[in-house]
Amino acid sequence: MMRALTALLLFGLAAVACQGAENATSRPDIIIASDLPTSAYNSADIVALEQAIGFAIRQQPTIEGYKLAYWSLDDALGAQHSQVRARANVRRMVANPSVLGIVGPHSSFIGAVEIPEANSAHLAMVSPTTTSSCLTVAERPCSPTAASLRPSGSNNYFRIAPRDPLQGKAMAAYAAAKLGLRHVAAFNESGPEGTLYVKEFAKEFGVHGGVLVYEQTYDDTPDDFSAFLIQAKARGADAIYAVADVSQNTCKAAAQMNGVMPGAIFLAMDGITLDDDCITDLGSSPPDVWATYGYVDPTTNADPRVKKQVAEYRKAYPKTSDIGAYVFAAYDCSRLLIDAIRRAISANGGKLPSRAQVVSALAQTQNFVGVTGTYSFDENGDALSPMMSIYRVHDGRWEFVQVHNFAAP
Amino acid sequence: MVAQGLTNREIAARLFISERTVDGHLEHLREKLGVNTRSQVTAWVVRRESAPITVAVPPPAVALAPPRWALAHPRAWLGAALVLALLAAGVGVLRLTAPPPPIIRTVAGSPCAKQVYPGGCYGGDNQTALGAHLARPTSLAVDSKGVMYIADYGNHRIRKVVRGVISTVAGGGKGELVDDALGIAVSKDSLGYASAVAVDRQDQLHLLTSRKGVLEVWRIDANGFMHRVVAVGSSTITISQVAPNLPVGGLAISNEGVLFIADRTGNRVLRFDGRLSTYAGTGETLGDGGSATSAQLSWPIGLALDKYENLYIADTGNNRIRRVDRAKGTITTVAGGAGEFEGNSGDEGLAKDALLSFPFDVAVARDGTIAFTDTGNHRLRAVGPDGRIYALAGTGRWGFSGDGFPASEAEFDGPEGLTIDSKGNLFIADTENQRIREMPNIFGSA
Repeated sequence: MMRALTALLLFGLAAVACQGAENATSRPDIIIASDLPTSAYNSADIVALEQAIGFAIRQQPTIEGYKLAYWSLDDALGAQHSQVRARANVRRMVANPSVLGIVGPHSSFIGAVEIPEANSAHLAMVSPTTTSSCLTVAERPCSPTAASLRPSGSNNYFRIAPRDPLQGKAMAAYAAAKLGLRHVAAFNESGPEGTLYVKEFAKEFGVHGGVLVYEQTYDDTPDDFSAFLIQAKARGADAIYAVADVSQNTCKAAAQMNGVMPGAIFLAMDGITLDDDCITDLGSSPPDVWATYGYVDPTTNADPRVKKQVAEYRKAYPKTSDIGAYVFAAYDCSRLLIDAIRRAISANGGKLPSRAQVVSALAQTQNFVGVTGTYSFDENGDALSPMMSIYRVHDGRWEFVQVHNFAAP
Repeated sequence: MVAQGLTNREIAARLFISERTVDGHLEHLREKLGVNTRSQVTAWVVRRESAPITVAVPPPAVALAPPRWALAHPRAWLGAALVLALLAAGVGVLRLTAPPPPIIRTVAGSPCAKQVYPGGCYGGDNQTALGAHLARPTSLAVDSKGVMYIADYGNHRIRKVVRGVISTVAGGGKGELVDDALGIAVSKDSLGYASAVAVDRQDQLHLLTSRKGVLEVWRIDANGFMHRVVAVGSSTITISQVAPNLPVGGLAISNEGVLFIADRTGNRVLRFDGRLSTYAGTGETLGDGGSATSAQLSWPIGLALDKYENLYIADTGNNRIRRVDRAKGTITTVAGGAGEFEGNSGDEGLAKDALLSFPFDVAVARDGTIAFTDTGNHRLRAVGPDGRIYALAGTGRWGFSGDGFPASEAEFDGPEGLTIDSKGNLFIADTENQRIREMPNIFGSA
């Protein structure tokens, strides 16, 4: 009996020991994490981002021999994303020494609480989706300020999505160079950030010989834009630039423009782009409408390299809902992080790098070729040529026109 | 009888029912108890029999009497029924006389015509509160006459409900809030981000708001005019028009009119009695057992005082309910604290060994029971005078359901505020569901 019990005990100990060894070998050396509201209301697009990050990491299961893994956290609290859970999730990432980078934050609002936590730990963040100028170099009062988001005093946050006001710059360049416009009037329903759109528009338009002839800011959402349109026409505007979204009656303004300023062109930002409600609001005789979009959809790219990567992704995720907006931006951000970690390992003599070394490598990224663009970063973490596309309304639907290249407009 | 080792056939024979019926009841029982086997049911009964359970009699008027809601949890309710059944079987009579489990109902708020997340809209003033539209209600207070005040945070308004009719008492305008000397009617002026309400002993409404980056407490007098009580200091809050803004803090008022103010972003609680001082927080380490002013708080929001004026703090970011002893000035954890991060565990055990998920608000019943919103778990939980933690309401899944049914089966979505009125009714701000819900008469009258 004793012999049997002893044998059983030894067998049990051996089993436990083997299990421990297996865990040890399967434990990743490096973790890339994300924090997305995947369980929130209507989160199919968010889940698709998570898929894209996971796909990039499965394509690259090791970096210089170190095992790489993906840790996805969820910052939804019920139907919505939550600052309180987001902050706690980043603290969990910080507490795990294998986490060397985060793909995120997902929204600027969440970024306001996540960036300081990651920054204090020198943990790199690469965001595919955040666009608020307050996260980097806003030329307006922000709460919190970009400096207060970086308590360590150095930058850890990088993004490939454009700062919001750059949409104004891109639209102005296109309007002047491609549409030949020279006199534009603008209205803004987007508060202080919207003012920066208009400022960027006017500045870039001026570079191309154009003039912003009239500008109006609305605190409320108007139904009737005729007073503004009459003023714009009186000042010789041949186009309107709108910084507002569909719910702020932007596309109704475009329809009204057709009556007051026949033949004029309507320019806008991503608050209306690809929105079918805008098509409805434009009515049966819409004007020419052009708008920017802070994303690049690589499925329209003819480059064989990009087509191959997109095809591989579609093979893994064939559903239409798998290829939503910013999916390939999340994929590129994951690959940017992997690339930076690889360089940080090399710079560290083949040893695992510190978090600060990964941040440093990320900052030194030069012309990383992704499927949504080619990326380098400035000292604030903004991409030198962030994602930007131009769309237009044609035959009652949105149509892709071109990718805007800030580096060579 | 299961615990006594009886087979289904033997139980059926004793109760004069079919063996299949016994099997059905047993299956239901296993499901309710969350166990898989007969032996686990037996173990559960043995465990429950060793715990104090009061059945079918009003709670005795002694300090340590188990609260009535001890039977709110389905396990407690079923346990009581099971014990009764065992007793009744012994004399051949089956009499279930345990009180019904507490139900839940909506008392204010209804979805907008086009419910969009982030949800909420404004509407319904001077009509039945059940039909009104709210936007992220965060905090509640009920005065001695039963008037309920709601911090209708997303609408930048304070609403009140009197005999089932809702109206706006402050906010909603676009003007600047002007000091009391001018006697400005508050409903015409901007409240800023007013996320907390409280009433004092004279039934005067107070609110905590962040305006232009400054945290302030205002009082509204009987004529509806605003009086600034104190400006606490800067309040660096992140504001979004398209996402749920976190409350700016919390507010509690003592019988003597002393204000306790939770400054969320300042990670501190202040005391104001004409002079402003730090009461808790600003420390570097958690600091349990030490001075409250040396302790670390992390995004404190809800506050409540017990009858001895000990202060309870929903220490949201630390996933704890803390208590500041009035006499000693020391701080302790009364719920949460089993781990560094959020969790959902510990029911029926010691509350300080439980895991919570971002508790946003706290209230104290007359018998000392501490109720709180376990916001990240979409539940309400409570700590009894015995220090044990119990489930009050919520399944743990987010959603909206359960009105008219036992509160344990209801769904919430990020419930933030709660309060207990003088009759022992518990009101809950079911924040992301844009509703106020009630568990009537759960704590007994004051």
